Amino acid sequence: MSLLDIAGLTVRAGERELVSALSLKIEPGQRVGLIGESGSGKSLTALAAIGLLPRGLTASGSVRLNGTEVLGASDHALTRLRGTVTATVFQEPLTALDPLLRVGRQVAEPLRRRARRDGRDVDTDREVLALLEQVALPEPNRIARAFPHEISGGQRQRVAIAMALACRPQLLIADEPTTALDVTTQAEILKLLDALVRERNMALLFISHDLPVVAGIVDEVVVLRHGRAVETGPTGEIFARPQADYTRELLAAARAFDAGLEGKA
Amino acid sequence: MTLLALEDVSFGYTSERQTLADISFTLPAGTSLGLVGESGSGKTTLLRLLLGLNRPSGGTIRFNGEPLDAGDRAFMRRYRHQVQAVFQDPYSSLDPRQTVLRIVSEPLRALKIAGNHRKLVEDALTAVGLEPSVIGRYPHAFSGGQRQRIAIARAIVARPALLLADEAVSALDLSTRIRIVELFRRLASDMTLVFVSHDLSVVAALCDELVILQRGKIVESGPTQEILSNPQHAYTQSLLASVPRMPVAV
Repeated sequence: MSLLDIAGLTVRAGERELVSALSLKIEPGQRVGLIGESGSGKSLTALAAIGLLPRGLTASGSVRLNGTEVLGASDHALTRLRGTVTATVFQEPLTALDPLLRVGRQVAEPLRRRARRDGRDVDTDREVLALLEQVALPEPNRIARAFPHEISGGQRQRVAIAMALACRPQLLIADEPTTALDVTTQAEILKLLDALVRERNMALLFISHDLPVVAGIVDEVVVLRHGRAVETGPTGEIFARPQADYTRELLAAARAFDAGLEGKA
Repeated sequence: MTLLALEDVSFGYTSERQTLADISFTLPAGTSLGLVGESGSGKTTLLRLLLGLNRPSGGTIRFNGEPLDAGDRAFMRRYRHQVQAVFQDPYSSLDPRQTVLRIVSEPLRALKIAGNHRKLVEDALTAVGLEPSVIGRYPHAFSGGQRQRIAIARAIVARPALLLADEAVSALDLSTRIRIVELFRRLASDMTLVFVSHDLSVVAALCDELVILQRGKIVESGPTQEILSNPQHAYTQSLLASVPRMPVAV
C-alpha cells in the first residue's frame, strides 16, 4: 500500500480548476519532488494531501494517506493521520511557530501527543533537547528557552523540522522549506533534511520552484503547470531528457543561470 | 569617467551599532555593479543611502564629483533627474488606481520634463518589450513579469544616468526572471546599473563588477568573472559553494 496515493485530484475555486486530475504515489522511503512556478497548484496539492485545503475550495478525486481517504474525512480522523503518517514543514518558519511560546514548549507538544498515542511516559525535557540536537542546533538548552523571534530564520526552520520529527512520521511533506532562507543557510538545511530523511527511512514529498534544489534531494519529480502534471518520472531522466516544452524551458532557464556562475554567460 | 564614488561610507540606525562601515568603491559610467549580500548584510541600507533616503553617518558619496547631500535641495533636484529605482515587488510598486500611462509618466511630471509625454511613455514601453497600446490599462490586468516591465519603463522614461534595482527579479518565477534579466542586460548597455541582490546567479548573469557585503562590510569586490572563478574571501567562497547547481546532464 502506498503511503500517499493521490488519484485524479481536482481542486476547484468555484468554476475555476486550480488542480486538474492530478495523480501521484509515494511508497515508503521514496522521495518525490513537486516542481512548479506560482499558480501551478503545488502547494494546494500538499494542503489537499493533509486535508488542509482552505474553505471555499472543493476537491474531488481521491487522496489516500496510508490507505485512509483524506478528502471528506472528519477532523477526528485527520488528526489521527497527521503526525503518525505525515508531518509537514512549511516555507515560513516565523509564521509556523507560535510567537508566544518558548521553543522547548512547542517541540514538547508533538512529543507528548505521540507518547499519549503510544500509551507511554515521556521525559519531555530530555527528548526536546535530544531533538534539538538532532537538527544540529547549537546550545539546545538556550534555544529551548528562547522565543521564536530570538533565534535566526535558519534556526527557526530547524525547530520546525524538529517538531515534524517529534511525530516520527512515515512521510515528511516539505513545502518550499528553504525558500525564505539565505543561500548559505539553505545549503545547511538541505543537507540536514537529506540526512534525517535517509537515517529514518522516511518518505519525502518535497515541493519547490527551485529546480537545482529539487534535483539534489528527490528521486522522482512531477512538473506542474497551471494545475496539471506536464511531466512525471525519475529526476535524472527528466533533467537529462525533458519531453514537455515547458520542462525544457524551465531547465534551459535554470542552466543559463548556472552557466553565468561558471563564467560562461 | 566616474559616475558614483563612495569613500569610507558608514551608517548606523542607532549610535551603538553600525549597519554599514568602511564602504568604498567607485563606479565608472556605463558599468553594471552587483551589490550582493544575505539578510542583514546592509545591502538595502546602502541602496537607501544611494537614493538619498538616509544620510551616511560618516564618509561621502559623490555623484559626478558632487557630494550627495540629502539636505541640498538644488542638488537633490538634479540628482533625481539622473537616478531612478526599480523595487522587488511588482504588486506593491504600481498604484492600482492609475493607468499605465499615468504610472509610467509620473517621473516626467515630477521632474517637470517638457515634451510629448505620451510619446515618451510609448517609447519606454517599447524599450521594455510591451505594446504601446497597453497605456490605457490598469496594473491588475498584468502578470508579475509584465508589472515589473512597467516599473522598469517608469524608471527609464526620464532617461536617468543611473538605475538602481533592489532585488528586482527576486519575486519573479524562473521563466519570467530570465527574460527580465535579459531586459536589464540590454538596458545596462547604455546606462549605469546598480543591482542589489541576494542571488549570486542573477548578478553573475547581469553585472560586470561585484561588491560582496557581509554584516555591513565589503569582504570582496572586483570584476564578476574574477570573483566567480577565483573567490578570495572565505565568505564569498561559501556563498558561491552554497548556490544549488543543476545536475550535469548525462
